[in-house]
Amino acid sequence: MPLLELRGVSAGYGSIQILHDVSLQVNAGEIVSVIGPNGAGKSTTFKVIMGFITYLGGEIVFDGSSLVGERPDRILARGLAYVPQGRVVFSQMTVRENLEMGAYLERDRAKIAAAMDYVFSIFPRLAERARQLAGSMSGGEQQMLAMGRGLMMRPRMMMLDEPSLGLSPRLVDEVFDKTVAMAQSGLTVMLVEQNAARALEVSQRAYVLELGRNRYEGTGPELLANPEVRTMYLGGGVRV
Amino acid sequence: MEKSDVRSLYLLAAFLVCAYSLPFLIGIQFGTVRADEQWFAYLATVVFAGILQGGVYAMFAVGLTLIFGVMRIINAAHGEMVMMGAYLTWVAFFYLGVDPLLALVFTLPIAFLLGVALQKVLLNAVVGQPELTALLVTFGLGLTMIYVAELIFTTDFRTIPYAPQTVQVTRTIAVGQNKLISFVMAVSISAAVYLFLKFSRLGKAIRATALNAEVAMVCGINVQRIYLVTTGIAVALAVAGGALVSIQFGFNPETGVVYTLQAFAIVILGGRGHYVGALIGGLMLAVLENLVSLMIPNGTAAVELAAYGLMIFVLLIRPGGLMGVKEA
Ligand SMILES: Nc1ncnc2c1ncn2[C@@H]1O[C@H](COP(=O)(O)OP(=O)(O)OP(=O)(O)O)[C@@H](O)[C@H]1O
Ligand SMILES: [Mg+2]
Repeated sequence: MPLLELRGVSAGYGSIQILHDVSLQVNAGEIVSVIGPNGAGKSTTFKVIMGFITYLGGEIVFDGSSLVGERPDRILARGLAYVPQGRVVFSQMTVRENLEMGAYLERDRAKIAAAMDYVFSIFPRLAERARQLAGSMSGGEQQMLAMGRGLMMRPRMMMLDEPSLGLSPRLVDEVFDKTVAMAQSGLTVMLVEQNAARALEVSQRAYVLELGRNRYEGTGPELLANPEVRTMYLGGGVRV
Repeated sequence: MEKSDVRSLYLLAAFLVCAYSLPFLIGIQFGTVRADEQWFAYLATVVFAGILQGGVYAMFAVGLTLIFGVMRIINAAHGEMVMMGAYLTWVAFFYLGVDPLLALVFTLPIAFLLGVALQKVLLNAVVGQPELTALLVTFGLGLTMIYVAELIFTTDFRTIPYAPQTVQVTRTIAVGQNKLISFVMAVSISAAVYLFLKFSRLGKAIRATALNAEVAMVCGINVQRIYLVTTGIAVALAVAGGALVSIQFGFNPETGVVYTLQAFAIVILGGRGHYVGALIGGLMLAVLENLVSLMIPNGTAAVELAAYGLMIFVLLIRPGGLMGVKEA
C-alpha cells in the first residue's frame, strides 16, 4: 500500500479550478518527483494535500487514512511535512528559533533537542549559524534551513517544492545531495523541481503534470528516455 | 541598515527635535515661557505627567499594532474599544460598586471574548483583503459602537472619581494619585504582554504568524486560532486602556475617536507592527502633547494639531516610523 495516494483529486482557489482528476502515489522510502511547466499545478497539488486550499473532489490518503478535510497542523502531526516554494523562513528569527518553530507541535523538550541534533547532523552549517538571523543568510542556507525546519517533527514524508530554485549550480548540487541523504535516512520524499533532469536522476518514479492534469508517469529512467518528455522538459529549455 | 534608511532616521530625529522645540518657541512668543523657578517646576511636572500618560497610550496602541502586525488589519474601531472599556468600568463602579481596577478581573476576560467574537463574525472575512476593506469595515464598526453607546448611555460626559489625592513625587513635581496608579498598571500589563509574546509558546506562535503566516501554517501553527487570540488580546488591551483612562478623564461615546487617532499616531511614529516602537511612540506623543498644552494657549486644538501633525510628517519623512515597517 502506498504511503501517500491521490485518487482523482480536483482542487482550486475559490471558484477557479486548477487541478483536474490528479492521481499519484508515493511508496514508503521512495523519492518521487513531480515535474511540469510553470502553472501546471505542482505547488497547488502540495497545498491541497496539506489542506491549505479548497478541495473539490477525489480522495487523498496518507498512511491508510484520509487527509480530506484535515487541518494542516493535524496533517503535520501525522508525519507529513511540507517545505513550500521560495524563501520560506522566519527572516527576523534566528536559525535556532526557526528550527524550534518547526517543532511547534512537539512539547517534549528532549525530543526537540534530539530532532535539532539530527537536523544539525544533516546540515552542519545550520549548527554553525544557529544564532544568526535567518534573513541574513544566503539563499542556499535559507533553503537548507527550511528543509531542516521541516525535519524537526521527524516526519515520515516530506514534500519539497522547488528546493533548488534560484540557487547557484554548486548549491543545487548540495540541495540534491541533502535530499538524497534525507531519503537514505528513511524519509520518503515527494519533490517538485524545475530542474527536471536532476530530479529524475535521483527519483525512483516521477509524474509529469500539465494544466492541472496527469500527463506522463514512470520510473526516473523511463521518463528520462521518453522523447516527448525529453524535448519538453529536458531539452535544456529555458524556464522563465 | 541601508544608507537611505539611515538618512531617513536622521531626518526623523531632526524633525522630532524641531517638533519638541516648537512649543517652546511659540511659548516664548506668547509669553507663556517664563524661565523662572516656578515655571521650571511646571515644566518638570508636565513632562512627568506626559510620561505617565504615555504609558497608558502605549498600552492601548500595542493592541492596534498587534492586530496590524498579525493580520495587516488597521482597526479603526480601536478607540471605540477604549471607550467601551471606560463604560464597562463605569457600569461596574456605579451599578455594581466594584473598584475600577478590581473590575479589570472580569472586564478583561469579557473583552477577550468580545475580541474573539469580533474576529469570528467580522474580521476573518477581511483578513487577506486589501487594507482599505478592513479599514472601512472597522470604521463602520466604530461608528456602530458610538451610536449604540449613545442609545444606552446618552452623550453626557461621565467621570469616575477615583484616587483624587495629589502625590508629591519630588519637591517640585506633584501628580494625581490616579495618574500614578494608571501608569503602574499600564506598565505592568504591557510588560506582561511583552513577556508573553517573547517567551510563551503561544506568544512565539503569534510573532511567527506576524512574520509569515504561510510559514507559520507549515510549522503546524493553527493560524485561525492565532487570529482569534490576537484580536482577543488587542481588545483586552483597549479595554484595559479604557479603564485607566476613565479614572483620569471624562468620557462620552465620542471620546473613542480621539483615542483611535492617537493610537494611529503612536503606531506610525513607532513603526507599524512593532511592539517596542508602540511603547516609545506612546511616551513621545504624550510628552509632546503635554508640552503643547503647557505652552500654547487654546490647548486642546493645539494638542490635537500636534499629534496629527506629527503623524503626517513622520509618514512623509520616514513612513516606516522609528523602527521601520515590519515586512510580512
Ligand atoms: N493563490 C492563488 N489564487 C488563484 N490562483 C492561483 C493562486 N496560486 C496559484 N494560482 C494559479 O494556479 C495555477 C497553478 O499554480 P501552481 O503554483 O500550482 O503552479 P506550479 O506548477 O507550481 O508552477 P511554478 O512552476 O511556477 O511554481 C496557476 O495558473 C496559478 O496562476
Ligand atoms: Mg510552484
